[in-house]
Amino acid sequence: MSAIELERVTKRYPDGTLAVDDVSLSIEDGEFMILVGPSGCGKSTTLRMIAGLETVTAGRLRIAGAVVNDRPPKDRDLAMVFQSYALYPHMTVAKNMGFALRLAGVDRRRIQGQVHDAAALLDLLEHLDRRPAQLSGGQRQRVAMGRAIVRDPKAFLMDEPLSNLDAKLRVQMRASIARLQRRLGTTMVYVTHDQTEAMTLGDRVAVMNGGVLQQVASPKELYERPANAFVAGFIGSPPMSFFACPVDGGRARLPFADVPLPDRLRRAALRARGAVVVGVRPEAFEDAALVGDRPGCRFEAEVELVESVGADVFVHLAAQADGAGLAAPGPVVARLGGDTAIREPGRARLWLDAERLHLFDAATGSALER
Amino acid sequence: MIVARRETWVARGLLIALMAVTIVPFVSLFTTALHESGTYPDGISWPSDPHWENFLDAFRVAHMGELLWSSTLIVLGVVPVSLLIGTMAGFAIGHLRMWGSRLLFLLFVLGLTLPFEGIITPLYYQMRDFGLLNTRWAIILPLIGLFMPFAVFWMRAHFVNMPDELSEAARMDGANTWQLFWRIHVPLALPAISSLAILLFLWTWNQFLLAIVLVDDPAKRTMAGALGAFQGQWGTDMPLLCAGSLLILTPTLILFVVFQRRFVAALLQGSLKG
Repeated sequence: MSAIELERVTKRYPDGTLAVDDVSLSIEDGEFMILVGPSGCGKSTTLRMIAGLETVTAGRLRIAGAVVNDRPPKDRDLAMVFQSYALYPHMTVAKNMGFALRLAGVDRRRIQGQVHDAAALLDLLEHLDRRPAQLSGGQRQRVAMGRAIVRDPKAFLMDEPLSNLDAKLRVQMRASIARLQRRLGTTMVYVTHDQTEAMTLGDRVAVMNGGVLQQVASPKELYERPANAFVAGFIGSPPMSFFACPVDGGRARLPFADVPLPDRLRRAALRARGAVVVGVRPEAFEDAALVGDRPGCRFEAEVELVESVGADVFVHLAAQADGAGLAAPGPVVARLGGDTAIREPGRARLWLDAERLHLFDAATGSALER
Repeated sequence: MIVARRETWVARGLLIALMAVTIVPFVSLFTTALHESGTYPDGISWPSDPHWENFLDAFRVAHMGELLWSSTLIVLGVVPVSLLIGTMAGFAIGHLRMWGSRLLFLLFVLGLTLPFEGIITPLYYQMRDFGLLNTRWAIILPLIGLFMPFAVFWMRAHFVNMPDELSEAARMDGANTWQLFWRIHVPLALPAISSLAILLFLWTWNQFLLAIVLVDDPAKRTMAGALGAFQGQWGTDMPLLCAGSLLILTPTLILFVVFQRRFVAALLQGSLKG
């Protein structure tokens, strides 16, 4: 059993800064858990507390059932991959990978065997005698991974391990990390600010903001049923647009159209005591000409900008999303199929799937339809 | 980088002038050393009959063979211990940042401002009370202490720039503080340690004041202390003194030639991001 459990964990620095506020999170044995959030949200601090590199101010931290609050990193049997890789510059790749085993007093031949196996898994066999300075960024990243897996630890902790790689290599390494985790079946806690990594890698994703855990759910659930406006705005690219919007007679009065709400959302709007905020994802729109007679709201709108990225076309409407105090105001973006005929700014006929609207409480930002 | 021609010539002119200022004393030393023993030559002049045997005489008169051995013993007593303590203290202050390290560092920096000559009298009494006067320990022990502010300052400057993640990675790999120091940080600090070793060697080798004041027996002094042998009650034998000075300089010059690159690196340490 190597589950990791955070029970009301808080981290307050000596200067009074509250980095992590009362976080409870249960990471199961063999699970791939992603901690995601904007810069300064407390995700790295949480990971460092799990690692033992930061002390826990309050709450309990359990690894494999044992409370480890006061255990130093070396006694937690965890391996960590750092953003900067933190390879030992004076050691060869083989020595970097075998360092932990040497410290543990494992005999030389076994170290060689384990380093060889890990290097084979990561395609590093021909680089074993090189030093980190002689390797490319991707190879260094693999050495850092190798250093972690060679020990067969209880869990892997990864602190934005791909953020120093170029876009193409990042996609490759993302896939290999996913394969590796599935193959090894070891618990993994992975910190990133990149939502694509979060959505593609994790079994579950924990979204943090301002030191507070916002939601823990599968990527699909996070996307489809965000717990609040922060999660809804953070997950998805381009982000969801928010409108402070009166709901009259079951219709949401958006700046570009009056959208009749389905019953589920109508009931949710009624439950809200105060004002309601409507959230619309770019994916909820489509070119009206492409959807045939599918139920939904058809409307004409002024298009300001059209961006084609091949498979999709992003259309910026002239109407602005006001953000409703929950997000920054910005243009309303619609994501249309690549075969849309809308290619130029001007008047365009669009379609909106009312089933995919989200409603939030204007005062608290909590989702209303959950 | 494109530099204007005039700028290049000005730079060359300045370099030549600086070189001349550096070399003239050596030339003067050398020509004087070749004059007849007991004379007082004027300025820089090549003697009609160069007395090369002056070097041999100086070596014999000042018992340089014994002093070479004595200097070596003193250097071996001072440099390794200073390096060890300086490196460990620099690591603790610069990288581990233990409680009170700022205050401790401030104390060491204050030590840097202490004039060496100012403490020679108390040192004399202290060494006398320890019963160490007239032994090599009277040079070795004070020198270790006197070098500490600089050694700690130097090594701290290195360790303070080492990324924390390196130590964190080692701790995750299972290293305790001792292993972190010896297995990760000492190998990475070798350039800084070797630069410091060269500087400490030079300062120990050239140590004159402590040797003259605390050790009466000339055979237990440093090479530089041997210069006292040429100073008589009635006068100073200039040619022999100059020959002796050049002999004393020789090991330092050899060291400089061998470690030339390291010297420059030592002087530039910290001026550029590594």
